[in-house]
Amino acid sequence: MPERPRLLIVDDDRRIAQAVAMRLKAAGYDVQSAHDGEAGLAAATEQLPDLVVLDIRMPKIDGLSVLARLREQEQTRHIQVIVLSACAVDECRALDAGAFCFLPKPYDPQTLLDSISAALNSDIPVGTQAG
Amino acid sequence: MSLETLTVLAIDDDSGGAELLRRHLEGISGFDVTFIHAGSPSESKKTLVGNSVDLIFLDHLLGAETGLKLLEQLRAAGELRPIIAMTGQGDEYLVRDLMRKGADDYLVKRDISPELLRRSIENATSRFHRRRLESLTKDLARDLKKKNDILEQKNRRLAELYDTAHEFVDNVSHEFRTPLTVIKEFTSIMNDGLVGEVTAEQKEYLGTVLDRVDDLATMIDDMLDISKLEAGLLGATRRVCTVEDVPGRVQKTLERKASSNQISLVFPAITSSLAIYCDPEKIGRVIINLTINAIKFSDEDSEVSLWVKEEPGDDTIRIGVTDHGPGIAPEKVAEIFERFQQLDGDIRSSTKGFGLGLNIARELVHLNFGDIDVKSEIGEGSTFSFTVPVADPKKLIHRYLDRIDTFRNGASYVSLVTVEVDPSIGEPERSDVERFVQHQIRRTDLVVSAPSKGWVVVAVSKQVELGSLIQRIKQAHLDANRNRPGAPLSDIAMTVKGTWPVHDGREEFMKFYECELAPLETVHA
Repeated sequence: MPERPRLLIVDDDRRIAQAVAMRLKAAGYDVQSAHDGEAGLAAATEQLPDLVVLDIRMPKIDGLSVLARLREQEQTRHIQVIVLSACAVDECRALDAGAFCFLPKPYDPQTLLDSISAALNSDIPVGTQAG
Repeated sequence: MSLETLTVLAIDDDSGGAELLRRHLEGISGFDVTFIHAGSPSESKKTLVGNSVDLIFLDHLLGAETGLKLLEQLRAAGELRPIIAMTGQGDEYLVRDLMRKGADDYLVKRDISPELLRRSIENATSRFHRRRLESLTKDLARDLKKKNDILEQKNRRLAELYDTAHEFVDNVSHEFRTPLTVIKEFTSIMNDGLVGEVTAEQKEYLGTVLDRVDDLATMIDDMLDISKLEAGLLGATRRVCTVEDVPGRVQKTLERKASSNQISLVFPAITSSLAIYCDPEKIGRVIINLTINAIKFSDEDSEVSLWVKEEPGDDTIRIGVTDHGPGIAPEKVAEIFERFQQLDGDIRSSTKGFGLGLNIARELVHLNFGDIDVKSEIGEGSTFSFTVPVADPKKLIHRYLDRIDTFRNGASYVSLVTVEVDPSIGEPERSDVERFVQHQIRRTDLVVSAPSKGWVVVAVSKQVELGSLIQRIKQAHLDANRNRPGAPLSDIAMTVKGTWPVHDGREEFMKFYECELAPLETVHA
């Protein structure tokens, strides 16, 4: 049996992180969480998950900076990122910074699952998707 | 012949000399002279305050106080009237000093004659007028500069307020949407049975909660869009996308909304891969608002269908929503897009939202260079539809100029800026550069593809105003390179090609655009 894909959720709202994790675990993923940008970046660098579900507005380091750092570091450059944000204005910036896609909060759970599976099966190299 | 009246003050401590001057003055033809004599500086100062003196004769030798010193004091105190200095002899250095300290002319006492006096008076008077003009100009310039400073300060403050308002609206959105996310996800976790079995009845209620959460999210978007519209903050990030990008993003939400209202929603199977030009998020909101409106006014078990068709003649696609609801009376059709209009309704007791949906839909369609339309028949149902332009650069520019022209009452100018990039770059680099440019321009400007792998920015500004925009884009380009993994973003060269008035200069603008940049390719998807 192939190993379950490993996902990292980074969201400063613990209830949102918990709900997303429940949803994704139920879908069969191996899920870890972090609750601010700094912890998220550290966890991604250490655990090298297959995909990060990333919030934008967070304390310490915001999601866009986390995304930029992930793209800078050689070992994290390949990690797919899906941005979940409550601000529609973040969409362009998130795509510019190399997110696979942007989902506005409140998100539709099925759309989130579909996007994750699309990102994990994507052949397009990370960071080059058109907006 | 009428006489020119002239009140003269002679400041001279020698009353004999003053008397001689008076006689000479009276000898000038054409002048009616009133002669006042002051024997000391203090007396002269009193006289100057109280009298309407036109001209001052000042003797250089004034006892203990020299005329030079008095002259300096008078000018320092703001005395503008013409002063003619009188000297005992034509000492060159003395004369230069007197003139430098503010005398308008000088006379050597022993040379005085009526003719010489007349010329000197004319000379001094014309210098006085010039000086007064200069002083006025200086005052005006100072005033203008002060007002300009105030305006600039106010402008800066306005720009700050504009940014703050933007930030505020974004924050409000964030603060509302975060709790909704928690409510929605936990409800749907229960609804989907992830934390234990749910009965059919529980499932129904949970479904209602989810439905109302979506309503609330739409209402928040509506309220924020309205406040942005009011504040002139509502902008769009328009880009080239395909027809299928647009309805797909709102399908899930609408399907759930329809099913919880027992409406059968027919979603179009999109086969077209036509490139269109719009802000997909905003067009998605239009589809949501029109569909929710259709669902609201439909009976249970009826059908609402969404459709998309190409309108090649107009170079647009048309997206529509058809319902089988009560329909709208012809006399009401005109009002339907205005705010707070609901056909059967008193808004205060309505449970069907704010009545803002159609108004916002219209604004968002206009923001994307489209038109919105409704066809309706009482008892049969209604069809709301709107257009989205096809990504043809030339036609987009026309649509854009139309909009600016209508919106700004023909008062504005547009400038054409080319953005060139190395023609040998391939995809996806070109898309990255395009997206970069698209995000850097102001919300009022337009970017379309040009031949030779570059772009054209149509900016609502005169040429002189574009320096700072280009400077800002250059800086952003440097910043983008710093943060970009792998290779730096390709270099771009921006050139302002010219400025035209929107209303009267359209033809010339388009001619320039076509001649300078032709032949045009279709926009890259």
